[in-house]
Amino acid sequence: MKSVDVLYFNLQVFTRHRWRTGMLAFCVALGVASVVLLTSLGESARRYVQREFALLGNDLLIVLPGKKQTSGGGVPIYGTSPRDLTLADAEHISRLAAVKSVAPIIAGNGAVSYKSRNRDVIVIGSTSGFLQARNLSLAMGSGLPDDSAEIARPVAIIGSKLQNELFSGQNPLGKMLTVDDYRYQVIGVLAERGESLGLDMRDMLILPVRSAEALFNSPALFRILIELHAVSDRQSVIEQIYQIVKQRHQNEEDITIITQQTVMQAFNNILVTLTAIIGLLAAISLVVAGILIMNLSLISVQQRRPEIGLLKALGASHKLIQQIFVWESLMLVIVASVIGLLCAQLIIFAANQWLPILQFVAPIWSHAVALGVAMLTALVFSWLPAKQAAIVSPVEVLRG
Amino acid sequence: MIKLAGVNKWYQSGSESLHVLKDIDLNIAQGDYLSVMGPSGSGKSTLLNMLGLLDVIDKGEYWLAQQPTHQLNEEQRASLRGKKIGFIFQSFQLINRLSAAENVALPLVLAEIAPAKRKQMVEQVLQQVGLTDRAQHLPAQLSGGQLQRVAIARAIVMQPELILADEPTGNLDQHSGLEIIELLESLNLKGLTLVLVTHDTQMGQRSRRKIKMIDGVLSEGVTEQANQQILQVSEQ
Repeated sequence: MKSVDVLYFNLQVFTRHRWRTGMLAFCVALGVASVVLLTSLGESARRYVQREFALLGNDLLIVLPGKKQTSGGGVPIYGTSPRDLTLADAEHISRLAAVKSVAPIIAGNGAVSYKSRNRDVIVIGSTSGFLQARNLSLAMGSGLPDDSAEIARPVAIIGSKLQNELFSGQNPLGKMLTVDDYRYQVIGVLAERGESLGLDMRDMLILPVRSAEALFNSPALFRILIELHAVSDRQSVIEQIYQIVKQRHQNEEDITIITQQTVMQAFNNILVTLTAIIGLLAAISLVVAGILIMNLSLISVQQRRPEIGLLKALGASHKLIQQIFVWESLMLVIVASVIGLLCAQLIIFAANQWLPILQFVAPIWSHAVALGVAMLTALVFSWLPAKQAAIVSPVEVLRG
Repeated sequence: MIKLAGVNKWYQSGSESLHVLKDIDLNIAQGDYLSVMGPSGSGKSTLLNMLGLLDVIDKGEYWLAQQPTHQLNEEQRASLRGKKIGFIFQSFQLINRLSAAENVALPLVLAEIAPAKRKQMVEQVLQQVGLTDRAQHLPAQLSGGQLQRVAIARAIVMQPELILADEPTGNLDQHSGLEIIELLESLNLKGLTLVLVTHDTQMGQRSRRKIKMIDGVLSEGVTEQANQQILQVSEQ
């Protein structure tokens, strides 16, 4: 039997058993589509994070309080140390020639209120360099005053969501906010830009760092963002910063400096692993579809014993019968996989239309993996039914 | 053309082994017309399986067209079956999802004959069995007699040397049964060797050679006594 005849022969089996074929194809298509969609979700998240970091620029260093000796793990997001990292440390670092600007950050929670309205938000205390370092821009008003590191001025910049919630569209500039017992005048509103490194910038209050020090009653910095001049040798600057802080902290190297790349790398590793795992979980659905194919094929072989006997009586070899049954599963899976891939593309396209903020992408490899796993499943799980079919004796034809 | 020498077959049935064919010797010449008669369980179907290479013999020799089939493996037997033997079954064994023409073409498809030639050969045999106008009908749209004609067309499309018919009229009314037998006999007149397994003594009487199977033993030639014996056993 020629391959084209095998295909045609199986096609007639499919058209005869439309319901069965349709259901099996649906299962496989669902599995393939979910592999592609779930890996797309992971991959899109990875690219999103990568893009966010790329926005920060290549010359950013982040100083965290506390020392992490181990490597290979995650970044110490919340460092701890008996000696606080302070504004004075930041001031000393800013004197280095290679340093372009320094943005010390104090972070905490605060209850912001305007008239009768109250919101719990993240309060950031920083300096005028902060907006630039985090690649943020203002929708209106002005940034933090240049003397933020020296004087605790009662001024604040608010995120766009906070503006809506507190002022419901009124011009907030010049209005007075209350945070705990302190009062601040709104001098600027951030432009809408969604999230930045997992912080929702739309829902945030930014104060001069001295004001935040007073508000939280602590000089401890959450971290220091350092922007370097483009030409500087990053590694030697990092060494110098370690030296400065060590001198100031009684010869104790109790900070960690991370570069934009290390953070990105850490996120990248996490998200790649995550993508692989959810892809694998989705692939299990394909294996389930495979088991379904196997069971239905076994039943089908039982029902078609006289037919198989007939084919053998008419001269079909053992090998040919096996081929016919393996091809039956393969054909089904290939067609169903293509449908699944198309559906996944359609869903991704639709998602991109509806949610333009996030760019969904489906990596080519996930298509290949989905197709590969589906076909491998078909081969593996059709092997047993095909074998069963091949050993049917030609005498069976007389029993039909 | 066919030579069976000392053929034996045992079937395992539970713990005992049944001796189904006992030292069968049989020679069939090209163009012969044989009927095999006998009661149920006498071994006539088993004999047909052996002649059709559907089953293996346990002891003895079977030569088909100068080939020692008892020495062939399953794949070689399959190929020989496809080329030399045409089967006709009591229940027709047509594939329901295929049209009459596609059913007839099945042996040609298995033998990898080119589509154009296939079509021509199928048309020719369908004409031979008088079903040209039913070529595109599905089995469900045909009568019993027509179904068996399709099966006959399928059996002869590869131009085999031997036709094995297992109760070909068993599922047909008398009139269509007679038509089928006449069609088979006309093929026999053209030189095809025909072996007919039947319960029907009337059908059996039409053949040139009459073989009887009783309890695994083959005997040839009609004696009134043997006939009576067959009738008695059949009635039981």
